[in-house]
Amino acid sequence: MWTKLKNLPYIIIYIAGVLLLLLAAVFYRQPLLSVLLILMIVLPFLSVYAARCAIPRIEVDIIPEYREYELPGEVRLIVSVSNPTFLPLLNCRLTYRIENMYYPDGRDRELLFPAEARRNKKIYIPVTVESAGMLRLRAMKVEISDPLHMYTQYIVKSDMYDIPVMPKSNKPEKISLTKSESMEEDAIWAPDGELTMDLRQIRDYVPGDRLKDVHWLIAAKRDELPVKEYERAKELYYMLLPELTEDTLQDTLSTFYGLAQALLDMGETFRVAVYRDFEGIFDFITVEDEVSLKQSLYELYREQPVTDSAAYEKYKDMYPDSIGLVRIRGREITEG
Amino acid sequence: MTLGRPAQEKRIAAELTSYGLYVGEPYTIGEGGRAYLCLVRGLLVFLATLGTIGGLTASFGLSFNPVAVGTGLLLISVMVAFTYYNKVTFYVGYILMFMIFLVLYVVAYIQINSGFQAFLNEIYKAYSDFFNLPSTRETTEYITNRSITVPAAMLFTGAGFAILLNISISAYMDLFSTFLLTFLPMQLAFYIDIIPPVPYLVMLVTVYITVEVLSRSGRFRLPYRYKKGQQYQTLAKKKSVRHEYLASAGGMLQMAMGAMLISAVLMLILSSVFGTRFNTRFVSNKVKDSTDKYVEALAQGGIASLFNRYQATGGISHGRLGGISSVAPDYETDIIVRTIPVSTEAGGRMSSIYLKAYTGVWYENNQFSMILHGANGEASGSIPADDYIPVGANYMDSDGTAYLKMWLMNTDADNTYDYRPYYTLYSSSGRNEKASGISHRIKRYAEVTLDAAAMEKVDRDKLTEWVNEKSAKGDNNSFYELIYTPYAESTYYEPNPTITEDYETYVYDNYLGISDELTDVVHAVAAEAGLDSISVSPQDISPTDASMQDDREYMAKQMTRLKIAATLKRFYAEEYSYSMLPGATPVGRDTVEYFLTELKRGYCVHFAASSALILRSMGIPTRYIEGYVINPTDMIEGEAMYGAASDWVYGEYTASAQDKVAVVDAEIPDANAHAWIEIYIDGYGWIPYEMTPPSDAEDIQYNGLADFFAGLFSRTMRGTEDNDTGVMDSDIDVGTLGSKLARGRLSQALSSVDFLLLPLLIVTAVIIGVIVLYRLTRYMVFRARIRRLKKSGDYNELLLIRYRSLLKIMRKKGLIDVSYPTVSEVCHKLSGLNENEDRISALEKTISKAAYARGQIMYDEYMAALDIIKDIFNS
Repeated sequence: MWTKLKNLPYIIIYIAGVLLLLLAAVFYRQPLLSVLLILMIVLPFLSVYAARCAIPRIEVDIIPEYREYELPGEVRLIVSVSNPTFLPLLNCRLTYRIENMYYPDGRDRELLFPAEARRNKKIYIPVTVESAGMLRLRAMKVEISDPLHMYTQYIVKSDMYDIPVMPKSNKPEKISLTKSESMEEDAIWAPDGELTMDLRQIRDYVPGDRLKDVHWLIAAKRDELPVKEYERAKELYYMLLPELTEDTLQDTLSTFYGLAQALLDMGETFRVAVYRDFEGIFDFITVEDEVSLKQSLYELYREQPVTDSAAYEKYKDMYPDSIGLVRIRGREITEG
Repeated sequence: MTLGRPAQEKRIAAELTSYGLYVGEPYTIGEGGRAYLCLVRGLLVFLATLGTIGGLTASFGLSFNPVAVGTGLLLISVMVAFTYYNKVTFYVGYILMFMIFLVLYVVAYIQINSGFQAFLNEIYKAYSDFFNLPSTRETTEYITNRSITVPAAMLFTGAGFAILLNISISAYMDLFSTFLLTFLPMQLAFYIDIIPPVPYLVMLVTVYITVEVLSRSGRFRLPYRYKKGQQYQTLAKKKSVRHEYLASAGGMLQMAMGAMLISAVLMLILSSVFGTRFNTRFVSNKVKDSTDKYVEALAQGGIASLFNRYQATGGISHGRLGGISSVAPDYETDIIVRTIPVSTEAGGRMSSIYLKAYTGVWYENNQFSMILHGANGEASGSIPADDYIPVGANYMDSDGTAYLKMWLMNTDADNTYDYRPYYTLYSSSGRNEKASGISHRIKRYAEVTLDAAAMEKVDRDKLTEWVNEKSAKGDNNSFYELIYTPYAESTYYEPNPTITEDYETYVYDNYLGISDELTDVVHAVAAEAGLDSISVSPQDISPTDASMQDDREYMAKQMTRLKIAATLKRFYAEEYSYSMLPGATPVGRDTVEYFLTELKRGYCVHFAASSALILRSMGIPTRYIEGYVINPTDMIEGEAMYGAASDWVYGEYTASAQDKVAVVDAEIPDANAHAWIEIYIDGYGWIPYEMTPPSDAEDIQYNGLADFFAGLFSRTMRGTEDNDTGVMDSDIDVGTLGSKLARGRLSQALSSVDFLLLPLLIVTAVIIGVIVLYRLTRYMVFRARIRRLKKSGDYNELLLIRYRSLLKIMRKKGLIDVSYPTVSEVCHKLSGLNENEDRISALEKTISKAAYARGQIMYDEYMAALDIIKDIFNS
């Protein structure tokens, strides 16, 4: 809903100015000028009226050009402006905010733009990014004033977009890491190692089951949700633990991304331990393809880096018997 | 402004380090470039230039080819606007244009100059017509083919205007300076009620509106100051970063087109309001009147007439005429008198009393000096001691000769002279004869006429007491007592016993002189006034006194003199006008000559000086006099009391000790300073004669800020006879003054704006009419749509129209605060308003069906829903 604001000082100055001139015109017997000035008093009302009719029909949106970007690169934001009316409005203002969640900016950004009559146009805002992370784009407010700037309407926006920026891939030349084993089964989601293609049983759905294991064929025929349970192969897997510290954040992300891609290239399925510093817990994400790798990255992007990460110590506390944990800290990959 | 490259890079690096990103300058693909921007600015400059130059030229009836001139001005304007294209054009452009300007001027000097002269000639003609000026200035057009000269001058002037307007519009987008540059020249036309053709006014108003709107938007940056292709500039602050667009050429153009549409509508309204029916010719006020005087002076005498001028305060000027452009009295009291008002006029009205001070004899170098030039024209000393006021033997009334007493205190008047009423026999000032003006001969006459006892009646104690009372502030003023016999016009003349043959010879030797340079001029004016043919035949004289029967020749000669003077006075009244702001005489011109031949307006000094010379040219001994005049109004406003008649009246008037007379203390301000002439009547002496005609409009008299503003509201009608000089104005009585004062300020203020009433009413009616018409049209369209939908059975749309109306009202009432509420949200709100829930639910269902279902709702459903909506409206 558009909210109205009146530029009272200017209205007063305008009217007072015109009246003063009118007085002079009357004293100097200038009938044409006098009537012209009287008509000038009508102009602000006309301007406001026209703006009031036009503004609700104007649409302003800000969106990222693509859903995801990679480093090094340029994120392009698109401000689409649509003015289907015959009134050109040259005083439009969009307030938005864009920031990398790792490096909060806290500054509002204002875009002053014209909305020419009967025109749809796109304004491109180039954003140079040098750091990986989640960019958050938030449209906050659109303000539009009438041509004489006497009256302003604004609308509060709540559109928000998260734009992931992938890190540079820092692939290790050689991987000689130990796979993890002897993990307590209930400790993590799907903790029971790699699955084979051998079907063990079909059972009812329980929360936590992977959607891909739902037997959709049967589900479509019956009013139930059966899940295919496979034989577990007690195979070993890699457990990656990226430690998000402030000074090595970008290196850690690059190294993790490179290692993960290398593992996927090797056909390995692995897990990522995302440490939730605030809650002091771990989320484990199984990565078996590019999509799940990105998901794991997004999870990492939602975590704020700390000065000194306690992730490893916490992991060891929680899982003292675990072996084969791959620690990623900066460019270093160590087993712990 | 853009940052330098290193600073920019540093800033980007800092942003990237701190925030991991840097937001660059926004851009729009396909947005018009610099050239487009310059072109739009050039268009605005063109509209302003053509509006001014074309409008002004067309206003004064000079014909030109609008297409050719318009194209030329468009090219010039666009070229000028392109100086802001980039830095090179900016720094080189103006120099280049100046060079082109110069070359064009040199090459087409004669054409351009002739065009200007043509324009000036038309202006002079129009102003002469408007103000009914007796003469029109004319300049020489070297080339008379105006189809060449006028466009040449227009293009040349237009180029100058375009350069200035390019600064005010393109660079600063400043309405004030644009208005001054364009509207002030148009005043040449507006001032004399010429309304330029509507298209030119539309152009000007278009520019005003566009400039104001763009100025308000703040987005009119000059392209040359930014990088090529840059569309936005970034302003980083601590808590925010702002990207501002520099300028929108498309937006500017659209705005100009919209402004043109509005201007056209405004101007159509205005032209329908005014047409040719209205003019300000006969309506004015004090302030405009005073401006008119300057404009008239300018139109008649050119710019030179506005220079070499100064403003004189009141008081006497010792015969000096030149260089005074206006008289602005300070209204300080110069003289205080105590006397008894006299009535020498028919009907018993009070008369003015003239207080003579300065006598001018020889006129040369813009001054009537006291130097005698004798019969041969060579200077022969100053006025002798006894050349003052011979006493005439006229009568105050039938009771016989009476002599009146006057106390006079000089508080601020020139102290060089005594101030003497006509005809003073005695003065106690104690000055020498020359300064007091009372010769031995007169004194002797007075002693004989007034008996010695009367002379002894001078009561010095009472006079001193009066002076002390009046000058309580401790001023050291000169004061004296005077005894005089009042002069009355048209009374019977008797030979003056104080005049000798030698004196008459002296008079004829010294008071007929005119300098050689002025002889032709005064003779020409005398002839124009028809003075040559005036004569009174001795047969026309019918003496009432037996003693005069044999002296008809003498009487005819004297009567001819008076008739000539009266004719000249009438000529002045008809052909000349009174003005306290006449404008100064140009350098090198003689004031009398300039006044008589060109200026034809002035105040008492001009009329007295020139008439003295004209009458001399007719063989009438005349002299120029300065002094003060006590008007009847001064006496009415003075402090009145009654005194013993025997103290104030002497002579044959026999007053008993009980008789009382009105005694008045009058304060005479410097504004009462005056100039008149004295005409010599053979055997009788000098008689004062008023030559200043009545003013035809009230002249502005600034007396502080309050009076200035009062003047603004005071309406005057040009062409009406309204003398405010007070000079020889014997018609003023208490009743007239009272009626003048009774006119309230409010009624004056209202009457001063009555010229606007009709236009205002029409404009208001048009505005109201447009609003009513708009609403009516909308309503009619709405009703027509409803009828059409009913006819076609589209009940879905019908119901949705009603629903939208409901939404509008709910929005107005603040019941809905989202842009696009769902039907259920709306109905939920309605339920909360104590509406019947079942009905609301039914309404929701029907509206949803109408909005989303494929089929049409039935008529009954529509009517039921409509009933509910109506009920909601009503509640």
